[in-house]
Parts: sequence; C-alpha cells; structure tokens
Amino acid sequence: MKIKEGFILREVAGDVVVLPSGDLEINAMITLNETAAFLWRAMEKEITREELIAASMKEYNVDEKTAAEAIDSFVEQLKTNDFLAE
Amino acid sequence: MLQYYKIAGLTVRMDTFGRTLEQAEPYLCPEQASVDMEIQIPEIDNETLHKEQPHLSLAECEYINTGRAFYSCLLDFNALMLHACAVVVDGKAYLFSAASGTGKSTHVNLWLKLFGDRAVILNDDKPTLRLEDGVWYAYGTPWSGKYDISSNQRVPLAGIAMIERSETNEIEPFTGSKAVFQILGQTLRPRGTRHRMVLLELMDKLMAQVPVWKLRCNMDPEAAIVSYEAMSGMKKENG
Amino acid sequence: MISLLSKDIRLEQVMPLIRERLAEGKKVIFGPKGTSMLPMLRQGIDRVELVAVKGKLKKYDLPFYVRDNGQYVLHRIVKVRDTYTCIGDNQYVYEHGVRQDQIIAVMTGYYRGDEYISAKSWRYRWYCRRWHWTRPIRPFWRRLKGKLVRLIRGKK
Repeated sequence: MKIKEGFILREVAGDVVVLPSGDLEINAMITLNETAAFLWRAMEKEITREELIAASMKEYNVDEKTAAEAIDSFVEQLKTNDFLAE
Repeated sequence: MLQYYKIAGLTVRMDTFGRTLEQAEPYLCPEQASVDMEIQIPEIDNETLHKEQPHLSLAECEYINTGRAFYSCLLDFNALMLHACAVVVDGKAYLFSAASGTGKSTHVNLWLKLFGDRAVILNDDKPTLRLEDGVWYAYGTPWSGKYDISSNQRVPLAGIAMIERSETNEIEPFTGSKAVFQILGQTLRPRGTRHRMVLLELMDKLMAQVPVWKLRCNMDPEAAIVSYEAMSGMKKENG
Repeated sequence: MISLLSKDIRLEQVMPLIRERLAEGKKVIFGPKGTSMLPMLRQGIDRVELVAVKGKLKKYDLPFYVRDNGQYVLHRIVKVRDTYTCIGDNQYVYEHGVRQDQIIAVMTGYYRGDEYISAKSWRYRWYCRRWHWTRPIRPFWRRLKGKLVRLIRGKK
C-alpha cells in the first residue's frame, strides 16, 4: 500500500496539513490528526498492512487489534478519497 | 510608463498605465541597479479580462493584473498577501479578514469612528505581510481601494482577526488547522510544489509569532472596543 | 478531515472594483456563470445589468449577493420577511435567511443576446410570476414531456 504522489505535508500551527502539490488549483486542504499523520508518513513509501500494524504498535504502545482497526479505517478513508496509489 | 517603485521593501520595475500608475505614485523611487521584481502586463491579458468583465476598462483590468503579478511573486521574499482590511493605531497594524469578503471594512469603520485621527487605514483590501529579521510587518501597497488612503508604510503586525457575523461580540484566540484553513482561504494560493511548501512554511512562522483571533461580532460600536482591547492587550480609555 | 476551499478566484479579484463602481452610482454589466438561472440567463450569452441596492427589495427582484462561505450568487427573491428566501429559476431548493447585508447589487435589466429587457417591463414581470407559479408542476411537466416525445418517436 502506498499513498499517491502529488501531496505536500507539513506541520503548520501545531497541526499537520496536507495540500496537493503541482500546478492544479488548490481547492481543498486536508488535516491529519496525530495518528493519521503518523500513518500517512509511513505510507509515503510502499508498505504492507502487517508492517504498518507493527510500526503502529511500536510507536503507540497498543495491541494489534487496536492498531489494525485504526489502520483499516484510515486506509478505507484513503480509498474513498482516491488517495491510494494503484 | 516604465518606472521604479519600492513596494513592501522590494524594488519593483513596473511598466504600467492608468489606475496602477496613478495609485503607485506614492511608491516611486529612484532608478536602482538591482531589481527584485519586474512587472509588465502583455496587452492580450488585459484584453482577455476586459472581454470577461466588460464593465471594467482596460486600465482597470491592467490594475487587477499588475496586482496579481506582484502578489504572486511575494513568496520568494518571505512575504504573502492577505485579503484583509489593515488599520493602524498607535504604530501597530491590526488586520481583519472575513471569509465572505464583506464585514471587514464594516468592522474597521467602527475602529475609525472609535479612534478618529488616531486610526489610519494601511490597506483596505490586500495588505502585504512580510517577515524581516524575525519580525512580521504589514505594508501598504498600490493595490487598494480608490477612496481609501493606502499608505506607503511598514507597520509591525500586532494581530489578525478572522471575522464572523454574530448577534453578540466575542473574541478568542484562533489556533490550529481551522485557523490555518481560514487564512489559507484568504491568501493567494500558488501553483507549483515548491511555492506551496514555502507558503506552508511562512504560514507556520506567521502563526507562531502573530496572534490570530476569531472575532464574532455585530455592527455595534461595542464590537470595535471588544476587538481592540483583546488584540492590543490594552483597555480603551473613555473619551 | 478534508476541507473545501470554494472561491471563484477571478470574480474575487474583480469584486473590489465592482463594489467601487456600484458605490459611485454606476451600472455594472455582468455575464453570470452556471445554469441556475435558466431559461432566463444563458451562460456566455446573456448578461445582467446591476446597480447598487437602496433599501429593502421586493418579491421577484433579482439580487447579486454573497454567501457566508464566499460564493457569489445571482438568484431570485421569492419571499420577503426579515430575511429573503431566494432560488434560481432553474432550481428546486430554496435558500432561506439571505440577509440585507449580503446583498451587493440588484438587477435592473438584462441583455438576452443583444436585446435589452428592463426589469420594469410587463413582459419580464409576467415571466417572473408565471415561472414561479409553475415551479411545483415543472418536474412533472418535464417527465410528461419526455414520455410524450418517446411515444411520438416510437419506442427505442
């Protein structure tokens, strides 16, 4: 799994903000909460679901089920909004 | 006419006519060896806009285009444009921005009534904000209302308030991504990845140093007292 | 969380000048975008003549106003109370609570192609009334018309 190319991510005023990169007009801004920001950053390179779960468990000190739920929900949102690379 | 101008601390060589020429007069400066920005609008750009908006003269179309050219180069100079009405009181600039494009002039007019000569409009539509030696300043520019005195001044920026209509008058600090989003909505959003990154960096620096407020207000004179006291940190003495 | 920025960038740049012109008492001629005011206004073809607003508007007046989210709109008033209820001629959802302070200008006439039609003309006023009265039955008429056309042309 990997997030599409074409986004810039930066922390602004304490929150993580994502804008489309490139030349098309900006008509939306994405805000990521802490978990989402962590997952997004991890998914900027190709990564498997298992690797992602492992990384989340380590970072947040949670059990596998919790991590998996958060990840699945996040990936679902990415799919809905067409942010996942093919 | 090709002339040299000092706008927002930048040396601009501009070939212009009509309204731009007229309103840029207070910004004239002697010829310089090095130039930060070069502005000259091709005739076809003015004609295209005129076709779209026939009630505007070619001179007015050029005025819009020169403004756009200037504002789109600002990011390279640690500066950005904000759709806001900027008023100066006691040497500090207070900016009022509104999502709808209305309401900011109304509120600033309350400040003018409240302070009389003590308040001056720096720019009633698009002040330039610039970070210089760690301090944020607001600048007047030639691109301002016809009937407002936009002054060629640099004033330390004391605060930015995002206005929302309401029955009562309240003000509170505005932080985080919601504030970022509103400010983003009031500035020129550039094309190109590098410029977008620069914009986000600058906004981060801006919001780290300049207080941003959410002002919910009505059109009563009290609204100006509420916003002034919070943004200046001082009480408005009577009289 | 995704937040949408809705702004007509071109119009936003021109708005200060439009407001100035209106404040000077001058007319502004403007080609509206979109299909929400069909059949009266066709995008790219017809234009409206706007002047500054003086006082309260009446039913069937066509104001140019700005929504709190920054969108500029040209829709007809169909009800007047403390606020206005507006709707485009080609729409079915009413917009309630449009305030006087949101209104920038009002239409005094329009150019249908090259022909100028005044908002005061009886022909125009009759169109406004008739168009609004027939609104509830319009979707039904469209469906019926569609059926009729299919019947006449034979089944596909």
